[in-house]
Amino acid sequence: MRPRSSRRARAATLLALGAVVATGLHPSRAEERPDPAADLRAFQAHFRDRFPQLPIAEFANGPYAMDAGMRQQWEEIMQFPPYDFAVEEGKQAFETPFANGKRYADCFPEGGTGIRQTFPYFDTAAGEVVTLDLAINRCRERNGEKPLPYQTGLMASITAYMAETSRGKPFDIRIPDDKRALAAYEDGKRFFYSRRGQLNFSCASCHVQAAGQRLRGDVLAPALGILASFPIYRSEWGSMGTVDRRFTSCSAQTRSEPFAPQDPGYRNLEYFLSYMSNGVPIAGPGTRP
Amino acid sequence: MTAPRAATRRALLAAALLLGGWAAGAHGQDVAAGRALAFDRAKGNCLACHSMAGGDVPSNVGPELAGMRARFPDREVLRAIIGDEEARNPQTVMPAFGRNLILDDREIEAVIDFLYTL
Amino acid sequence: MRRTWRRCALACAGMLLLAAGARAATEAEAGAALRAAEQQQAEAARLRNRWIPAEAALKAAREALRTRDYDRATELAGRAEALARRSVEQAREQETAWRDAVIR
Ligand code: HEC
Repeated sequence: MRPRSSRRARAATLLALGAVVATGLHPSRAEERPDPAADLRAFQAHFRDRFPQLPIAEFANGPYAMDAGMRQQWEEIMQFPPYDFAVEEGKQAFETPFANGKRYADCFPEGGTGIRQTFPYFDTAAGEVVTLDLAINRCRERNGEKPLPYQTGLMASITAYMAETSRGKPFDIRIPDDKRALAAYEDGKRFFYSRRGQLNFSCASCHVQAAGQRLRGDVLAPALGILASFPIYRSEWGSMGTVDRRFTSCSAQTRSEPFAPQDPGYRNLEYFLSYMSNGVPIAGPGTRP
Repeated sequence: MTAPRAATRRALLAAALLLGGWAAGAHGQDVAAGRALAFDRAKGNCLACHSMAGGDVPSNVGPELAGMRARFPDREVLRAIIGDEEARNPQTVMPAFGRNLILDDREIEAVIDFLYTL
Repeated sequence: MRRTWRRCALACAGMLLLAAGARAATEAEAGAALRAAEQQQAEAARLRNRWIPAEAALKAAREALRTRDYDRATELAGRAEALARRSVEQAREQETAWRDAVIR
């Protein structure tokens, strides 16, 4: 009895080993070298095939691009855009000198106008992804000012103004040939596709697989162009919100503990999503239901 | 002597039936409990993704929940879908209500009782 | 008949007591349950995959321990541990599984 079962066990082990060796021989997905350009082509082709009627610029409008009824409401709202006050406030802050006499304009190329589409970028000196929001706070700190809270308020107003000066400029995100930049990109991509939280959703579950479908009252924005309208005035919030605010609330929707704003994980995610949206024009600030 | 013993037996039997019935939940109660669980945003929250009779939102991430007894005559299949659909379909967007401890076994049974009324 | 009902009530109470296990948790047991939950949650944090309900159960368990409700603390810690364990498992599965969801 015994020898037979142990022989069987040995055979099973050999079989299992064989299987492991066999799969090891295949170029395993886990060892794929990141290829952002190929990812981008596949990503955009996916959405073009899904929504063949939709010009690429329309993807900036998220739910409004998906649903005719919502679009009509939107056009009514846009007679008096609810983010106008934020653009005004942001412009004023942007033009007001810091206590040391310097301005935001001194921290950015082109004096900070018409550059939203180039963020986030990979800072090869520091070896990290820098978002527009992070660059604004670093500018403040370099000039002796306190950093702003990230999710709403003045940060949203300043980014709203900077986005407005960049409207129509297509996302132009670069991934330099630098191992750390590729790793940051890959980390953002991993986050986007990983199931997280008790509800077991990835970002892709809702914004790829269910894009354009209705989740309760909401129409789910497609992942292509999903950041092009930020920051947004969201009626549900009754106020402006930045990318951090949206990431935080989408994380919480899956019952996953959100990261802190501007956590490297969120910055890498923003880097990935923005790169995937290359070619979609900036439409921010936006308004959402 | 026999009368009291019979009474005791009857009492024990009644108690067992009472508690058993309470533990299993009478069928009508389970349907009501299942409905409450299905509609509760902190629990089943089915309406977030599915439309169904009695729900007032037009969700269409998942299929409409209707004609359930005809579509799923085998209760075991519903149990598997609600408990851990990812095991059957790795790319599903259906949350694993059982495996991720969103609903316990009794709650899943109650939800199924309710689904069978749709 | 009345006697039957009285006995029935008594029997009910007895069975319920038996079913409940009828022994209160001690401070030491509650403390041990909480430490086990915290250990799982620390692992979830290391994997950057803490779940909101796990964190909530953990907080509630700590609060119950503080107010010396050891039964409740033990129960909540057990729930927190189970949730955190599943979040750790999810993170480990997703280390490779995410690639199957990539648009290609
Ligand atoms: C349970 C489904 C769900 C998941 C999972 C989810 N989101 Fe969302 N997300 C929504 C809903 C609902 C909205 C609001 C409606 C809309 O605009 O899509 C939204 C909106 C957004 C928006 C704003 C879109 C716009 O046009 O205003 C962004 C950006 C976003 N989500 C990013 C993410 C990211 C990143 C993740 C992963 C961490 C994620 N979401 C996961 C449901 C989800």
